[in-house]
Amino acid sequence: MKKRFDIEINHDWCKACYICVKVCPRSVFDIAEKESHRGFKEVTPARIDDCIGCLMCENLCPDFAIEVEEIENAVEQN
Amino acid sequence: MPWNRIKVPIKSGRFLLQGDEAVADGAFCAGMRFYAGYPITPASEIITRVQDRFEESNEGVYFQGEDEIASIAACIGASWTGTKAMTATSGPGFDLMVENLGYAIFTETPMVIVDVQRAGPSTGQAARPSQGDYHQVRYATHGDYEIIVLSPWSCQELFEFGVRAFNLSERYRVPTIVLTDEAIAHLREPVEIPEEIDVFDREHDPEAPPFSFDEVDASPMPLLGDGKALLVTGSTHTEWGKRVTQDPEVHRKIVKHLIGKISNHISDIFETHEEFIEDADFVIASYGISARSGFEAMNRLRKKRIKIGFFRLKVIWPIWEKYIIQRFSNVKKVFVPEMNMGHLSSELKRILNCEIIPVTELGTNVILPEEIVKVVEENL
Amino acid sequence: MKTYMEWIRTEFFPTAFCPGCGHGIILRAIAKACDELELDRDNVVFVSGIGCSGWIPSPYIKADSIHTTHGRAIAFATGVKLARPDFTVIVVGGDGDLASIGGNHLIHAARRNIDITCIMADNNNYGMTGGQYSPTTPKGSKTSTSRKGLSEAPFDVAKLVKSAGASFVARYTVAHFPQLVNSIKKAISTEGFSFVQAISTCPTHFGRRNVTQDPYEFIDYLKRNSVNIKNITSSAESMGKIIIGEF
Ligand SMILES: Cc1ncc(C[n+]2csc(CCOP(=O)(O)OP(=O)(O)O)c2C)c(N)n1
Ligand code: SF4
Ligand code: SF4
Ligand SMILES: [Mg+2]
Repeated sequence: MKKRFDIEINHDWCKACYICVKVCPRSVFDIAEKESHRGFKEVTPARIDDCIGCLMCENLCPDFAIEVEEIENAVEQN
Repeated sequence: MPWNRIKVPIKSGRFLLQGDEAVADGAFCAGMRFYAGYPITPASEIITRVQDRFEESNEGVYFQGEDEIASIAACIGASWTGTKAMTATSGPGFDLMVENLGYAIFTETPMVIVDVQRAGPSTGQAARPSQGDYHQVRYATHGDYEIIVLSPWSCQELFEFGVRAFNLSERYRVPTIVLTDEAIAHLREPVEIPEEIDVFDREHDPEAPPFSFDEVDASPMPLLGDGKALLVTGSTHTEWGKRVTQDPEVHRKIVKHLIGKISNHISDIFETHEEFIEDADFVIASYGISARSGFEAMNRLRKKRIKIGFFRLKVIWPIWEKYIIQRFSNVKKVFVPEMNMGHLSSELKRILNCEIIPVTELGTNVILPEEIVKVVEENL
Repeated sequence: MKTYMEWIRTEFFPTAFCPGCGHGIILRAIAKACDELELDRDNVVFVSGIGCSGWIPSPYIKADSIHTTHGRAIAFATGVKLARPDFTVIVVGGDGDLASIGGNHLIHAARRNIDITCIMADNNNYGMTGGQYSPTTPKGSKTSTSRKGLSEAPFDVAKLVKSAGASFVARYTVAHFPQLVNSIKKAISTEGFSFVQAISTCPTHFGRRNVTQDPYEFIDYLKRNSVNIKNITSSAESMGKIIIGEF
């Protein structure tokens, strides 16, 4: 049975450095094709189910823009 | 109330004190409990006296910095904890303190600096007096600001100005300088230590913003440890310490505050010692050590029925121009003895329309009364 | 929200740092260390100097902070600590700030072994002023003031501070996040002068000219190019590498 995680990205703080995208060992993130209103190609946790909660993205994001949170009771749900 | 009448924490009475000891005692009585300094002639005796006072009272922290930069920095750090802090130095050390002096001015940090002048530039003559720092103490650091500088002429005043410097510094949240010189600092004179003195302790308000844009008054001061996550910075900032490094309006406001909180209270800050100004055609105007000779010269000249007065600045900065203009309205000539190339002279030339005659000494000999008398008589 | 976010002044976010700047990672490491130590925020005073590194605690850490003059943070902090020994005093500065203009204060604080924690955000150059070389810039590096490659040798600041008398000295990079947090915790908990050399990334200047402008590649480079002091058996192994660990 697998733990599940929620990944929240604060697009107001993100500066699109893509450390998270490249550091993630499970390639959870995708980069948007179009620029947002801030002029950045935003990051999305496209494959959130693959997240193993290693916190590499959260810890190495210089801008506090990612929060990875374990979803409680997720084990029972699935 | 920030003003308190307190019993002095040392023995009161009449004592024979060296100038350096007197200013240390005055500061201690005013509540100075942090001292940081780096040894330098002719200010080193201050360190010794401060240590004596701290040891016998079991209060206060003494710190010998690795240099004068560290010493003034440590004072500023200590002051933000609410501890009254002082450093003392002479020209070469003052040179090193200048950047952090600007920091103390901009962050409105109360603290006292004693500058015991020696002859310069550079190492100059370490154990000989001078008054060459007159403009340096005012304009040392870059930018626009006001600063308070007191100029004692005796060991008694070194004690009193030790107290007054802290009172002004705490009241106006501005570093305050006691500008003395080797001659007075190393002089021994009877000093009367009173039983009680008036002491101003800064208005501490934990809820107040650390800074202010008020054009008239200094603001209360929060302290480190108040639990308010203070932002203290030497960059241009809002009242709450948020850095604003591009907005000209914020910078304008803050500089207006730094100037206004002092210039609007100039009548409280500025102090003089005057004799026979009312009927004087001529005046000897001076400060510090040279004023002592100026005073004697005035006495000798009055015995010769010359209508000469005496005007001594006890506070050299800020200089109260309006007051000086009014006091000198009937004066024909002003003689200005000082141990430099004519610093106060240049200020008076700027302020007054009458003739200003410098009596300067570029060597390191204290100007004698007869030298002043001679210049006056030649120019009557 | 993670509890360490209580140490962050998010009202000033997004930060003023360039995209991918390692200083933001050091900011998180400090916040996390303080949070895990359960420090009383009202009794912690941060002191910083001038440089991008000076912005790490001021304004981004939500505790008392004094943002001082360039190089002088340790001297200001000394006054705070002597006047209030009950405060936890933490200095954060850059390699230029602490090892060049402030180098004298650094070695004397270590000699006195005053109970201050000092974190040097070391990006091997002067980030704020446009990427000039600093006392930690490796020999041969190209910077805006060593365009043909630097001919001067760098300081080993960790060793310097250790031999000057500090109680605790460690060096980690932003690529070693958990170790970095741990060493900051140890530094704060150790009595006496503690020094953490946190190797940071400046993709904008040092990275662009010497490693890579890509923030992730830079971090990856730090990881691959580091060797723990415990695992060094011969000097050849550490040649040209960043030696990490406790000294
Ligand atoms: C006395 C003084 N000299 C020079 C400067 C200009 N200055 C600002 S930041 C800086 C260098 C900062 O480099 P570092 O400490 O390594 O911090 P970084 O920006 O790399 O994080 C310099 C030289 C200054 N502010 N004050
Ligand atoms: S690491 Fe942070 S700032 Fe960089 S792209 Fe990811 S979320 Fe954005
Ligand atoms: S210049 Fe370098 S150190 Fe400064 S914020 Fe940008 S990346 Fe960071
Ligand atoms: Mg740097």
